[in-house]
Amino acid sequence: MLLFALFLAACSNQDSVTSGKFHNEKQVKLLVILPMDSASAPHWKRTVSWFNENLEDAFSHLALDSAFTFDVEWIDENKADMDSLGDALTRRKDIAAIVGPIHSQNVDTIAQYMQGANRNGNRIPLIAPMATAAEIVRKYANEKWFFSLTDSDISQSEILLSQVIASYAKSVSLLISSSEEQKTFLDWFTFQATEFELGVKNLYIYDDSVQLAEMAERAFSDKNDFVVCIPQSHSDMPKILEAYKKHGKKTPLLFGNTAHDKNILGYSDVEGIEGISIGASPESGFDIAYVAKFKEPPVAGEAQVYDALLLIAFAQLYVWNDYSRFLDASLSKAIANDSSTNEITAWESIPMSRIMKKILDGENINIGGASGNLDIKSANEVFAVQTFYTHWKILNRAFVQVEYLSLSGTKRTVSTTASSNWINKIITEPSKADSSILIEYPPIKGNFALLIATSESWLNYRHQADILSIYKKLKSFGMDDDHIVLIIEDNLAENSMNPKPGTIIDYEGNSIYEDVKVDYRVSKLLPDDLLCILTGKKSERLHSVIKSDSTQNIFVFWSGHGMPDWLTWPKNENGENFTQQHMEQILKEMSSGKYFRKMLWMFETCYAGNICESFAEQGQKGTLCIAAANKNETSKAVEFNSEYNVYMTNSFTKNFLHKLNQLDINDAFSDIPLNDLYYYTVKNTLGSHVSLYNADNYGSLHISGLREFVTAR
Amino acid sequence: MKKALFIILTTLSIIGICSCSNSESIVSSKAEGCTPEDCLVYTLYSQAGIGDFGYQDLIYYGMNLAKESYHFSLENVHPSSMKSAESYIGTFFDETDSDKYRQRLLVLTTEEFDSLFAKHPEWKQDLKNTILVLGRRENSIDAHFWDISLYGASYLAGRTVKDMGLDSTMILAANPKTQAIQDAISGFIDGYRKSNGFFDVNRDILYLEDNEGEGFNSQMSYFYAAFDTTLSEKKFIFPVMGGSNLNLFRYMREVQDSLRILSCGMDANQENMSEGIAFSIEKKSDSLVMEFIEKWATGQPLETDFFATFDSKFVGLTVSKGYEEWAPHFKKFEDEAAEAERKYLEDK
Repeated sequence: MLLFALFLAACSNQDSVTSGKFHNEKQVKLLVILPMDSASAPHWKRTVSWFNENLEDAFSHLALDSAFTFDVEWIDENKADMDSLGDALTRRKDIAAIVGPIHSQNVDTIAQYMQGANRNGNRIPLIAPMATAAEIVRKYANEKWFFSLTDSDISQSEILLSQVIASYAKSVSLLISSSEEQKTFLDWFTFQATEFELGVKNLYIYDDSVQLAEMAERAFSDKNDFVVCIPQSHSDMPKILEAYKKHGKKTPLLFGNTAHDKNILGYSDVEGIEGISIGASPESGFDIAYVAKFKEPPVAGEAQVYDALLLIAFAQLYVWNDYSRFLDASLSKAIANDSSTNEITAWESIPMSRIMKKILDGENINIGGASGNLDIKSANEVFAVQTFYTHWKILNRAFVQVEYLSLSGTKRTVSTTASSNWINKIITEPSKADSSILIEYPPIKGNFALLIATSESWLNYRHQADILSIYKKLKSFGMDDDHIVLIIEDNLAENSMNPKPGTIIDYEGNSIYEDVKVDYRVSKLLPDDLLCILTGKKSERLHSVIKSDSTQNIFVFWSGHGMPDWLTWPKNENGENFTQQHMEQILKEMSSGKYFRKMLWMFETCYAGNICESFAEQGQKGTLCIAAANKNETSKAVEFNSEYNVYMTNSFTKNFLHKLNQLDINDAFSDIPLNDLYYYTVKNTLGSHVSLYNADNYGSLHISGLREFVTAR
Repeated sequence: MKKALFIILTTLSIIGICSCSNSESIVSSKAEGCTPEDCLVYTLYSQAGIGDFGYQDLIYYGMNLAKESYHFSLENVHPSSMKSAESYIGTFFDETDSDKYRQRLLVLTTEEFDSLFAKHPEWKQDLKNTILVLGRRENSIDAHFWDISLYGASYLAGRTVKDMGLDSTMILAANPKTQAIQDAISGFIDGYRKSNGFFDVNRDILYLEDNEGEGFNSQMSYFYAAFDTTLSEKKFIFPVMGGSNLNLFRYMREVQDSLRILSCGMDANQENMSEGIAFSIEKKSDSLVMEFIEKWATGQPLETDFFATFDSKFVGLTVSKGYEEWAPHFKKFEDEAAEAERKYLEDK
């Protein structure tokens, strides 16, 4: 109870409104920024009220004589000036946390102000229920006070396209607002459609209402197989629906999340339209319980708003339990789900009380919310790991759920790849498809790998350590030293700076220096030597080479430094670095000499995109390149170890290793599809843009996976 | 025409646990009304879980509606395995002597957990602790068994489907062991044959899984494969797969324009799932749960074994928009279906 007294002292100074159930009942003040138009406001308000009701019940089940509920100050996102609001918020001392806004641009504005509002070492936590612009992730990825409860529009774009695939359309067109809010769709839609082997026929991008009318007219008068429409807001809908009706509603049409707004139910010609929106987890029961209580379904984002309150309540309990004085740190604790413990779907009052008891008892927790598992830490500490989408229709002027969807599929949702996998299967059967749309390869007979770290100093420990981690993993997958060429300076173990001489560890502290066979010290090679090694030209100096042919795959991972015009090579007599010319020569000679079946190169260097552009320019069949950073930016080191006084790994490589570790060599069906690898590294690599080159000449990244490069054959 | 019909299972006398009748009750709840502090309803859903837009969701909906009306504490439990279900049920038994609640009710939404009672052979219900199983009694445990038969509605479906000229049908079923599924299958086949339809039970029924409790959660890929080879020639598919029906409906949405397969919604009105859903058979588990809870919460007598049939308020058949021409056919065979169900249950 002493702790509880401390907690009460930390609560806001608002007048308490007691239910009479508790001896001490206090209110914690929250600021909620959401669109408060007449259609939406009742939904948000009832959700907060419902949460408070359940929280109070949960406290009752704990049989304590003290409790708290939330006192909400509402801000209308549609009317408030975000800059003025953000500025005012920097001076507020009475707010425990902020929930909202909904729109990504508004979230960005408020977050910028909150970034500067340091309250003696802590910040006001901001939980964005539906901020889906991917750039928000990059911007606030390292901010421990910022959380989004929805995956980015990269996921929504893929969900939408999976529905296009399911309709057996051959191509797709996009009608979209040009606003920053929708930029993620524009960045990703074409790439993802191509990955689904869908042609992108037209992009209809509009800036304003005049252009909207014109583009909508074109979208439905052109002969499109399928149109995906991402309006800026519900107010764009009348013009879109008018054009759709004018052309007989013949083109299959699917709307994105911004169309799921109760305001559209009042528009003409809305009957029968379909779309995808961000929703609750089907297995949580939130949607059903909501209808039982309020006699109508929730709007998009309502489950996420509920979960925001749930997380803040749990965080507040951590504050109460003296985990931290600060709510932002406690929120990080609340979302660091322990997957080794059973997940408790905790949005209802009794399971909520179970989680609360665990927190008070100091036990680990694993929270399932209304919107799904609230494990945010395992992604990038900003975005939710999994988001569920609702496929809706409008029937009798009401939103009707048709199904639930998610990227990976669950007991109650179909994965985005279910349709495409099947349709890919169909089109690979010669009788059913034009085989020319697939790139054919001979049967695979073996794999080789070349792993290279090009730095020499202790300060760049991470480059050699990362290469050794990959080497160790490939060996565990059955590849032997005859099939791996390992090039590192090999000067870490005995380095005078090494606090544990004779050993090398990875960023998690695992030993990675046993049974290592180094083929070359990098300082003993020249950039030109790589071509000889890769094309099997053995010499007195080059004793370890790759003897491959057109039935074998080659995997190359490069870790080191880069500059805008070259990748840095250790000092040598020619003063040479590895340039685009070297890369082009390798690609040309290896392709013309048929030295590989497929070749995957991955570069963890600054400005890696510069070298990787050679892959796209050459366009050689079967070659693919993934760069940690594009040609204009640096890549980023992470995981600083104060004992070693160095960074232990790089962000991109860390994410690559994470996916590599998911490959289960004992499960014949386990693989990491290259599109999955790419998405994961893009979403989770901080500070640089992971980039992909020459995908057009490689074939489906859904079908091809890491397994065919990194395992013994 | 419809009126409630309660059938007290004749199997009770075989099992011999009690000689109750419709007017008798082995549990009499207190009539003081509920508060969240006094009354707890503890509901265990199937391992397949809610989110099926059907049977499980209806129960969950009914439970939440009942909670709004009768103000008890509601704990909805979604076990991921038989082991965790056993643990949850164990918790209920362990706390029978606890004074925390005045009344406790354990609701099992399927019979798949029946076997877990074996570890509690001495269990007896009392004024304080009650168990409701939403399913058919297959053992002598001291609990209320309330169920809804879909034989009659399925008979009407089969009778009408053939009467509408659909002469190539298939039944997709979750498994061959669940009694409720077998009732529905028997009803559909009997009705279809009554309309002179040909149905080969060896060829025209596909089971997704072999064991009880399984098949309600199949993978979408199954439907892509099955339709490509077996089902695409059929004109009507009768689905009794619980949550797996959703994948059938998804497939129908995707191929509807080219194949024109028809099917029906099951357990709930599912006409929105596909334009090929001509009608829905509604198993109103939400109303059934509400009825039980009302009696439990207000101290009314509770029937030990309650079996609702086609002509009760707990079964419905709704014709979808666009298929209105089917309605007179259903009407024509309604009494016949009720009679067929009566005979079927008597013969059992």
